[in-house]
Amino acid sequence: MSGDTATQKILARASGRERVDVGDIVWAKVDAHVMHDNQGPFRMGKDFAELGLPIWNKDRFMLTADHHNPPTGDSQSKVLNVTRAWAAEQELSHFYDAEGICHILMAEKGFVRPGALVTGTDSHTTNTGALGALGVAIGPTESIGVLAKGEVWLRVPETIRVHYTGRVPEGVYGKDMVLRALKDLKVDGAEYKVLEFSGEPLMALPVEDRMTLSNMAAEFSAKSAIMDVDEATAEYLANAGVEEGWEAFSSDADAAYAASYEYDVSDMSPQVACPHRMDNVSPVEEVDSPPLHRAHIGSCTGAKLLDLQAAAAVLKGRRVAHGMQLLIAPASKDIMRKAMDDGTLGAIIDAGGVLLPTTCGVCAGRGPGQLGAGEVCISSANRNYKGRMGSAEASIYLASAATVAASAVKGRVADPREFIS
Amino acid sequence: MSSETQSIEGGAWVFGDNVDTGYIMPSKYASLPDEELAAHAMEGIDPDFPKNVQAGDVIIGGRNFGCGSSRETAPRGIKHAGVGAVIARTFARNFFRNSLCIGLPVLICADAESIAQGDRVRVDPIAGRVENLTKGETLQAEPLPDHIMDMVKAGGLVPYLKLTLT
Repeated sequence: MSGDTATQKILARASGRERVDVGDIVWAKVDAHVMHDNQGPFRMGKDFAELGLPIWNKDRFMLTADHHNPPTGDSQSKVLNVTRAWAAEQELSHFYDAEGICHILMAEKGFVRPGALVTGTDSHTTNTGALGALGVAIGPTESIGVLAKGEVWLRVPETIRVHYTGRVPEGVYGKDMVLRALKDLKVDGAEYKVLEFSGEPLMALPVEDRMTLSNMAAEFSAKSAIMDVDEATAEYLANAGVEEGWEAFSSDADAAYAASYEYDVSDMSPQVACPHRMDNVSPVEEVDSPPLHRAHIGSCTGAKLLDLQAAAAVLKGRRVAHGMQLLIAPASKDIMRKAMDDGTLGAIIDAGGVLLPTTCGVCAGRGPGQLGAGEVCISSANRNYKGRMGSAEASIYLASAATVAASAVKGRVADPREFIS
Repeated sequence: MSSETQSIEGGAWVFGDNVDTGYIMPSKYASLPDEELAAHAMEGIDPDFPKNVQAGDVIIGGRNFGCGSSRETAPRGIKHAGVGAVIARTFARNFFRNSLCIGLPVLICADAESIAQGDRVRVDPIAGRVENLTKGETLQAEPLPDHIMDMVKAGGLVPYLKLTLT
């Protein structure tokens, strides 16, 4: 018999079993749950009220208003006001209104602990994997069940291992590492499965950048993502106020994987996902783009402090190319405050960057900066299918924040390594 | 599930692999109330779908139907537009769970792609049976675990929770 994966161990713990096998269906206790305005009270409030049950644990539940915030019209205002009224009525202790994007807030505010099972009404709930927690997406109706019972049913999934070796070169980030794997696995490559990211260069990344990989597991159609924890994780958790009360799980050396992929990053170039699919990936030097109209640094995927710092390093003392616009939306207020204090935001704004609210914005197809027909954009976000960021006639390239910044300077998709010495 | 929806019959609408929820229900409609979503169902992949779909019609997907965002507006829009069921070779898990939770029958069927655009199809979600009336073929869907079938029979998660929790 082969050993267990980290995912099996987490689900065994959460379901109160000695061990679980792939394919088992378990009822598992949820350690933390998040809902946002787009998949929250506006869709499920009435049904939840009809059940008349209390929220199972308000200390483990976060509600955010990040998708429609600030609103750009009546329908969004209505969603937000329903969300705020529900938060007040339920006397929530963790409701965050335009403070940041849910996945980043969950990590920053200590809701995510290694070994935990986290649910959320958003596909990028997989983000928790960087902290050793299994994050699984559900919808707003299923969220009613979690809120009422603090439990969710899950089929124990197989795991695909994505292992990195070598040393991360200058100009290469977590985004490049995950896009490289997406090129091979494709957008359905991890259907119903968990992606386990591992290897020395992965663990050499700052914890925030490890999140870029677990976050984008959603783009492989993965059920979740997982990785090991180390001292850097413990330090991140301590900063989030989580000092104890968690147990990390690693896969056994003889654990069975559904598939294994290995990448030596030493000679890896920055990677770019070209229109109109996330797995349409090429090394930056092979991408010959038309002139760009927009560069965007934002979303739960690509607007953490280190993303902004990488962009600022490229932009410092330079200007955004004539005829294009650089938009920047930090992923949380805490990130925005730190980027203000260390000069990062100043460098970006001086280069011509336009600062947007700390919410999902154009990555959710809402808010200012949406693409018009025929426009071409490069973004540090996560999806580039037609219509994701506005018009279905627009084109979106996806890359690291550094590559987005370099492209903003050049006016076309450009290699950040030219700007970093 | 109520008796009127036990047998679903209509025309087939065939879409391919990896149909993203962003095509099923574009983001710009995310803040619309349920009843207004129907007018935009499948708009991102077939702008004429909302005006041509008939009550009881069935959507046929290939692999990974409903990938991408976990937005529940995707199955809600389809359901409100009158679609009786979605049959696909495989589903993305978020779309699959969301559909079952809101009471839209979804059937995993290895031979889904033997159904052609416009074929007349009759679906029994409880028995997991898909009859292609045009071709005279019967397909069997993958059986679902008992606890899911209990929810399907109740018509979705909320009616099921009302039966079991309150």
